[in-house]
Amino acid sequence: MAKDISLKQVATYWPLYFFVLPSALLVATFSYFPAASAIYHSVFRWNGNYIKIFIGTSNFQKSLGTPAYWVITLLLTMIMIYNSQKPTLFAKVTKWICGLGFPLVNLVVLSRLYPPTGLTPAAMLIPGITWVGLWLFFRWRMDADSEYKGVLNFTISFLGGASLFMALGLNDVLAWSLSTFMVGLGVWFLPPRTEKVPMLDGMRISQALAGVGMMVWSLAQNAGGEVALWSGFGVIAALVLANLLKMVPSIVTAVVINRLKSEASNYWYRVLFVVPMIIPGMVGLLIWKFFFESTGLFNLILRETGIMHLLYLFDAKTGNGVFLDKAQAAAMSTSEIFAAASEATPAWLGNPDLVLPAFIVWGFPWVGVVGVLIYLAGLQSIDSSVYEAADLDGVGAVGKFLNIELPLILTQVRINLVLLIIGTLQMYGQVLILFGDGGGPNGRMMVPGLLMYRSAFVEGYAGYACAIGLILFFLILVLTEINNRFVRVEK
Amino acid sequence: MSMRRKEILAEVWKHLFILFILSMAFLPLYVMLVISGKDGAQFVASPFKLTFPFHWSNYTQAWDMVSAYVFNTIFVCVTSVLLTFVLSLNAAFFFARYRMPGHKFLWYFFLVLMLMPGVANLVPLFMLLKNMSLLNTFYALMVVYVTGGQVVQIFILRNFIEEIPQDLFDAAEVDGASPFKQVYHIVLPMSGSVLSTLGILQFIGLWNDYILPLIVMRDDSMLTLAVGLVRMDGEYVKDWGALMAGFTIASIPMVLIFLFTMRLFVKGLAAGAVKG
Repeated sequence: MAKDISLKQVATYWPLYFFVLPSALLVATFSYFPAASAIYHSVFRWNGNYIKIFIGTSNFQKSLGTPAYWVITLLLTMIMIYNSQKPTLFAKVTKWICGLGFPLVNLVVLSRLYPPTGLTPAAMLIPGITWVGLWLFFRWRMDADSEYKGVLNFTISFLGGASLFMALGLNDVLAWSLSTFMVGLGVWFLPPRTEKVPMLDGMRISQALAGVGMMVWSLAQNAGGEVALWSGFGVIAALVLANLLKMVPSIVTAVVINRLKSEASNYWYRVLFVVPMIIPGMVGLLIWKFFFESTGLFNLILRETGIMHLLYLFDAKTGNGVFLDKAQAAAMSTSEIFAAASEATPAWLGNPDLVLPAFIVWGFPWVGVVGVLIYLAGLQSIDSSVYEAADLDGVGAVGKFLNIELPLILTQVRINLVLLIIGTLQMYGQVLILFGDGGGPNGRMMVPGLLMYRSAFVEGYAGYACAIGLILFFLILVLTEINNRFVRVEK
Repeated sequence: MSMRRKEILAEVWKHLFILFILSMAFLPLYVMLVISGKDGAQFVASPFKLTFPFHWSNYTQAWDMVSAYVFNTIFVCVTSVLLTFVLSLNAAFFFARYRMPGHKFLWYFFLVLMLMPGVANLVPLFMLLKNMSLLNTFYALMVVYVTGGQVVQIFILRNFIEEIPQDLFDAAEVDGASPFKQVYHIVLPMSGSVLSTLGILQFIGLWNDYILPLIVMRDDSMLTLAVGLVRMDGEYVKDWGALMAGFTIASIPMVLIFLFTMRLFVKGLAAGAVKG
C-alpha cells in the first residue's frame, strides 16, 4: 500500500524525512551513543571522570577469567547456531562437535577435580552402570508413537544422572557435565530423524545447547573470573525457573474465566482483575516488603495455615539448619518442633538462606493483569459449539485445555516466555530497592545488573561496569538469536 | 438430573477458584487501605483488621510528604507520554505510508534498538546526561523516557496505520491535505484505543521507574514518586499509618486514569495492541 518514492523524486518529497528525523536523532543520541561509549570504555580503567587509562581486555579478564576458553566456546556456539537447522554435512559435524564435544571438553577442563575424595574404586563402577542404563532407557522408550516422550526422557535421565553422581560425592559441575555427556551419547546414537519420530532432531539440538550451557557454567566456575558475577547468574537461573512456573496462574485464570457459562460474571471478573493493577508496582513491592517483616502478615498466614509447621518439620528432619539450630533440632520431638513453629517469626529478608525463596514467593498469586487480559482476548474466539463437540467426544477439562485453548494462546505464551527471560536477566531494580546495593544478607541476591550498578556508582569502576553491561548485552543477544532459530513463533 | 447437578458444581468450583485468586490479588490493596487509617496504638493492637476511629489525619500528614513527589511524577510522565505519541505517530506514519530511499536503513536503525538492553547503557548514559548538564532536571528523565518508549510504539502503530484503508488517504490528498494534516485528521482520530493502551502501559512503566530518577535526581524536592516512597520506607522509625496513607495517595492518579480510559484500554488489549 505504501507509496514508492524513487531517488529522483526525493527532490520534491524530502520534507517527509522530517517525520522520522526527531525520533532518529533522539535514538542516535540517547541509545546508540551510550552503547558505543560503553563498548569504547570497557577497555579502560575509568572512574567516569578524569581517570581514564587504557588497560586492554583486563576488565573482561577480571570478570570472565582466562579469555582463550571463552573465545573457543563462543566461536563454536556461533557456528552451531548458524548451522543447526541445515541438512548439510558440515551442519551435522558441528552439531556433533557441540553436542558431544562441549561436554567432553568440559570434562577435560574439570578432570583435575576427579577422583573426588572418599570415592572408592568400586564405587566408580556406578557411573559406568548409569551410562549403560541411561542409554538403554533411551532406546527402549523411543518408539514410533512417542512424540513428546523423548523430551521428557531427556530431562528425567539428565536430572536423574546428575543427582546420582552428586550423591556419589562428585563435584556438582563435574556431575552435571558427566550427566550431560552420557545423556548426550544416548541422544546421538538414536536412529536418524524419521517421519514417525519428529522430535529426535529437536532433542539433538537441545542436547547441543545443554552442552554449551554446561561448558559456560564450568568455565564460569573454573576459569578464575569474578565470583559474585557468576553466583549472580546462578540466582538469575533460579529466578527464571521460578518465573516459568509463575506464568501458570495467569494462564489458568484466563482459561477458567473464559469457561464460565454466565456472560455477566465473565465481564465482572474481567473488570475486577483490573482493579489491583491500580496499585503501582513500587507500592506493591513495598507492601510485600511489609508482609515479609518477621511480625508481618506472611509469617502469620504461614502459622495459621500450618505451612510453617511443615517447613519446620522438613527443616528439622533433613538437618538443613535454616530455621532451627541443627544440633537442637536433632534432639527435638515432633510436638516440640510444632510448638516452636507455632511461635516462629523467621526474618525472611534477613536470612541468607531464605531471601531467594522469599523473593520467589513475592507477589503471590502471580496473576499479571495485562497477561490475563491478553490471554482472554486470544481465547474469546473459541465458539461454544467447539466445547459442546468436545463434551460429546468425552474430552475432559485437561484435554480441552491442551487441544482447544492452549494452541490459541501459544503464540502469546511464547512471546511472554522470551520477554520474561530477557527481563529477568536485566532485573536489578527490585533487588536494589529491597536490599540496597550490597545485595542483601551475605550478598546472596547480588544479580549481575546490581553488580554493574554497584561497580559504577558505588565503587567508581565505570569501565568495569561497562564490561559487565556488555557481557549481559551479549548474553541477551545470544538468547534472542537462539529464540529466533529454535522457538519459532508462527504469526 | 445428576448431569445438571454436576454442571452446576463445576461452575461453583470455577467461581471459587477465581474468587480465591482475586482475594489474594486484592490483599495488598486491603492491607494498605486498612492500615492507612490507624494510629500507632491501633496498629500494634490489631494490624490487619479495620479499626475505628479511622484516622483521616494520616492522609493530611502523608499529603505533606508525598504531594511534591506526586506532582513531579505526573508532570514527567504525562509530558513524556504525550511527546512519545507525537514522535511515534509521525515516524510510524512515515514507515507505513512511504518507501523513501533509506527507508530500510532507518527501519533497521529502530529494529536493532529492540535488542539492546538498557542495562548496558546506563553508565555512559549517566555520563552523557552529566556532560549535557541535564542532571537534576526533569528534561533528563523525559528525553530518556521518550527515546525508550517510542521504539515499541512505532512498531505497533506502523502495523495499525498500514491497516487503515488507502481510500481515506487518497481522498484527503485530493482535497489537498498535506501528509502532516493526514496524520492529525485521519490517523489520530482512528487510533484512540491503540494509543490509550500503549499510553497506559508506558505510563505505568514510567510511574514505577526507579533506577534512572535515583541516579539523575539530587534534590529531595525534585524526586519522583518511586524514589521518594522508597526513601520514606527506608526511614528507621516508621509511622505505618501515614506511610500506608502515602502509598494510597500514590495510587490515586492511577485510579483516575483507569476510570477514564478503562473501556478503551480493555478494547485496545482485545484488539491486539500489545500482541507484539
